[in-house]
Amino acid sequence: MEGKGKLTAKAVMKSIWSGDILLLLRVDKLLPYILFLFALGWINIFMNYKIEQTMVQVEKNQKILKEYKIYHAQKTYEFVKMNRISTVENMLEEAGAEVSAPEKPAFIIKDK
Amino acid sequence: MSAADRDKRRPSRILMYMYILLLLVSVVIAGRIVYIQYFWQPDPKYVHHFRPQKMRTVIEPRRGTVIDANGKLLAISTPLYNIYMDCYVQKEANDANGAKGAEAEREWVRKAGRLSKGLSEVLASQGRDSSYYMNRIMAGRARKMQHRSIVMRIDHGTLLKLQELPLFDEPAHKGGLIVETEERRLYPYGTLARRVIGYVKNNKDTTARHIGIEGKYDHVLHGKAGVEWLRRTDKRKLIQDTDSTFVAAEDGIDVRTTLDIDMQDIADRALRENMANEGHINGGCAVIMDVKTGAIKAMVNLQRDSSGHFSEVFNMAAGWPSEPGSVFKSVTLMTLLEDGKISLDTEIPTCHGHMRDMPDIPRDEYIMNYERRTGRSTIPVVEGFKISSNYVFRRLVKDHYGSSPEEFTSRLHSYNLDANFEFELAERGSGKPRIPDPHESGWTMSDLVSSAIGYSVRVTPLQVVTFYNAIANKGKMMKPYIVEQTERNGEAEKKFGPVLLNSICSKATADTLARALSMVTLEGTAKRLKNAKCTVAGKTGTARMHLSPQERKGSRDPYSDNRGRKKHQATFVGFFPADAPKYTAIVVTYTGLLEPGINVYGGQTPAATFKDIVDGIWAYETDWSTHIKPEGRMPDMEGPYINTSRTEGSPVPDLHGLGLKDAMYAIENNGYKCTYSGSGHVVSQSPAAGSAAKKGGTIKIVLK
Repeated sequence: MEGKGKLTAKAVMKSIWSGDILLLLRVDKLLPYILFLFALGWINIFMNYKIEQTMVQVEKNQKILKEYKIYHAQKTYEFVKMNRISTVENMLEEAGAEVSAPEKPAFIIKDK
Repeated sequence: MSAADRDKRRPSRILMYMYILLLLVSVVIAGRIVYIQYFWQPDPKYVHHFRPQKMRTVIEPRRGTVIDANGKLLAISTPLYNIYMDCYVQKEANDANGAKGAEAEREWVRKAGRLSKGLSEVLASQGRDSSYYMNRIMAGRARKMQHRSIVMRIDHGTLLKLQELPLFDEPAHKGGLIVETEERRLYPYGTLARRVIGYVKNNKDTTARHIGIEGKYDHVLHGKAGVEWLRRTDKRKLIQDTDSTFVAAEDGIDVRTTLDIDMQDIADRALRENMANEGHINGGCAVIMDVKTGAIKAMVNLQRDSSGHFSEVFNMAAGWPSEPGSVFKSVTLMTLLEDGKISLDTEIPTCHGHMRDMPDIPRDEYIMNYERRTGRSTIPVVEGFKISSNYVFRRLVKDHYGSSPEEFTSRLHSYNLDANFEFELAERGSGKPRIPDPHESGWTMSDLVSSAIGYSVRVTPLQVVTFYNAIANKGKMMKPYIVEQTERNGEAEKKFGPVLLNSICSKATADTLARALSMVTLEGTAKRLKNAKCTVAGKTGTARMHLSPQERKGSRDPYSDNRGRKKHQATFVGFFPADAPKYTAIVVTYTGLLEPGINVYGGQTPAATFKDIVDGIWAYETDWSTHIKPEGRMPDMEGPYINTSRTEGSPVPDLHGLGLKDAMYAIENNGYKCTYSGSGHVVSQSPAAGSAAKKGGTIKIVLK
């Protein structure tokens, strides 16, 4: 606003009316900062969005992990259940096997 | 202004109007923003729709597992699933959609039919056919039922199978599948060691908190709940609200017991099988203890229910003090030996088994038999111990402690026979352990001589086995314990044992007692154990049981009812191998009311059970294995081949491409013998795959 006098209320109103208020305020010089601010804002929004997406993924993965843990626990339970001596003997009997519970301790091959 | 000028200014005027309009709009928007931000109050009815939804959720801790001494799982928590169905799903939409809806409805019903068939197959163990499920679903659809149960408490694997069935493979708003999770405590060994491990339905269950390890260590196993806040994203997904408080759940700590579940299984089966054959036996218990540490390796407590089956309903071993009978003679013998009053060879007069100075005490039939058998009028102490003579031990105690009974009873206290050992699983049973006190009012000489043979004293089977364990451990009494340590992720947090209580006798006395106990199994009342897989030293005991006033039915005798019927407790307690003891064990059984003349003895069911336990443990115990050198020629297998399955007699298997180990397994598993040459993988075989060979015939394979 060189040569246009002081920045009075009247001048501001007039410049608003005439549409050159931004030029009056010399905002053009601040344009890089304004763009930078916008960029920051955009990055902020983008990051928040990405964080949210990641957290959704984290929740999904946690759910999958939990399911695997449940699966693991239940399989462990099933295997342990079958591991009982009397269960193994019953299973062998049902399979018609002549193999039965040991009647004497196993031979152990000694390490050198 | 000329027309040309007016035309020129026209666009700028239009722009000016637009500018003014936009300016006004922006002022209005700015005003609105300020108003909404600072002055506007939304209708409370709708507030929650405008604000991001947050939900406080409690993060349940994982309940710690219970494991045995070898790390085998005894109790684990895992969710099970309850399956419900919204049977009315899409029905309204279909009904409102004319012909197209009618076709969609028919398609839905067709899918429901396939779903029912799939349910009957996947849930075959429920024993329900497809028509059951179809009727259930369609009746629910007709009655607009939106939460109809289909099956309860299925595991994760079954859930995955159900989710592949028609309708259930579609989103819930189309297929109607509703899955609800329910955390459950699972016990892989079923009711084995139920009273020791305890039972809870889930981590929130407080009904059985005082029973077993689940109850006593609940404060460790339970863990600590956490809290988190969840919020919905714009896409309605739930995520953690990081701006709010988050407290992580602390999972429960695992408890490692001293139990060896294989030994528990062996002891449980031995006791069940031996008691099942004896209809008069109402229950029993068995405890196996590690000699060096006092760790409980197995603790079985069985009680016959009204249907005749045995189940674990009370910890008799730790919570049922009773008069132990003749197994207490070892206590008396230890006292006499330790005080230097006698040796095993000390001879005492038999007097026809009659305590002449105490005429109320009945004659000892065993002494009468001894006199008849040997023609002798004196009996060595060891012989009296072997035949379990009441007369001998009454006589010894009366002669040596009659004038100073405190000397005898104070010895009993030093053996910790009335101590509770701070044992975790002690339950409140019928009364407390008791050692008679000579200073009590009503004390008589009869109390002293009764104590010598296991009457007038009350001890639990755990106290008896702990005493015998001290004999096996050269006089050192170890505190019995059942929890080895608490641990997190496999690393110990707190260790509990072993703890030495005291030395109750000298090594020499313990060795002498061990020798006397070996004589009992070799030549005495427990000869049944002579043929056990390893040597056993131990003592039988039989005692009449105190009857309750209701059971006595007016009888003045505390041991019999008005018809003279009695209850008996029979015991065998000992350790094995006798020369280098590794385990001490006790087996106690008790009967219902038995008609006069019917007796049970410790040398019968308890000794038979003990033998089965010894034989079972011996076969599995690697400490007693024969060690062989790593080099040498394996002997050729002789005798009948072992049939490992019902595949015997099947066609010759195709062995091509298999390694030697796999090929031999396949051949022998099908009932043939094998010869081979070369190394690597099977390239040829004779007879050919699929052909029939003679039973037990040889299949030749060539490996390359």
